[in-house]
Amino acid sequence: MGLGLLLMPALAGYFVQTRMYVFRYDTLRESGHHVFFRSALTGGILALIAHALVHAVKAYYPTAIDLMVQVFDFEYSATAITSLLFGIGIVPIVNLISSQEKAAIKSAKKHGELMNAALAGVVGSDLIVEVLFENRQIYFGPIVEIGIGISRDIDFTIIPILKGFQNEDADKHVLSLNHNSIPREDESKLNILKTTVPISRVVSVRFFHEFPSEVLDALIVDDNGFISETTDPAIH
Amino acid sequence: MFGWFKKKHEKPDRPRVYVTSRGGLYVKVEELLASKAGDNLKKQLAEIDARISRRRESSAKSADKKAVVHQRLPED
Repeated sequence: MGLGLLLMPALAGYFVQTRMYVFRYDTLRESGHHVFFRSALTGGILALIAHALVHAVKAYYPTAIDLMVQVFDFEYSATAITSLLFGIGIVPIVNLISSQEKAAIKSAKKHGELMNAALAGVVGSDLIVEVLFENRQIYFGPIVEIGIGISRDIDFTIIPILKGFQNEDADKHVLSLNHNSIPREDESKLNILKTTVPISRVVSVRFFHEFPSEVLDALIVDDNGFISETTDPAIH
Repeated sequence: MFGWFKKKHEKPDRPRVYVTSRGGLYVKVEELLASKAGDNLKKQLAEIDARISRRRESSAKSADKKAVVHQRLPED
């Protein structure tokens, strides 16, 4: 058995596993030997398909296969080369009809990264997210960026429209309006409020279509419309 | 054809979600605000503004009342 028959389908399998969205994020999460066996298994399937293809083509256009064998002069070269080309060719076609975003979220969910998947699912949606951190700080706002993909410890970016602290009894919010003061004349300047935080510091997340009344009731407003962040008695 | 044209020029429900090669997701804030999802965000900002102005008005009224009480105290 030629080396090509072993190596080329395996390379094609590796290409499919690491480039095709439906496999990519699962494979990148796997450790070394799992990646090898996944690639080999995919390569084996590609080799079988390629072998069938070569026989089908040989029945109608034997000269094409003969030419390929002459150029690549080793055993089962036609099957090996066809499996490699088939593997490389099928990836962009399948990627066209599948969603990279959905594949990344699905893989995170599958690996138990539920908070990552939940936050990734609301990127660009109309939902307001409440993020509670370990130090009892709370941010409310839309999620605009998340590093979901291949790792559990990721960062995400939120536009904190409101931020404040949760009381120790945890049944009431004490909130302060964001100090950066949202520029009302040009909302696109919300960019300046973007805050990137590590998900490892997050205790819980909740999603709202609109601010709950208890959150708005908890707004503390001084004469200027703002109050300093030192509203949490436990912090000072 | 007109349906396609209308759809193309309608405000999108959600902004385009960009995906990085490693699977990171992000949206551009400008595109978020230009979409229907951004409308809800603007509505929430307006709600906060309204709530703040109501609070300011009520605190100003209570401050006026206190001032009146303070003025009357010496006469009592």
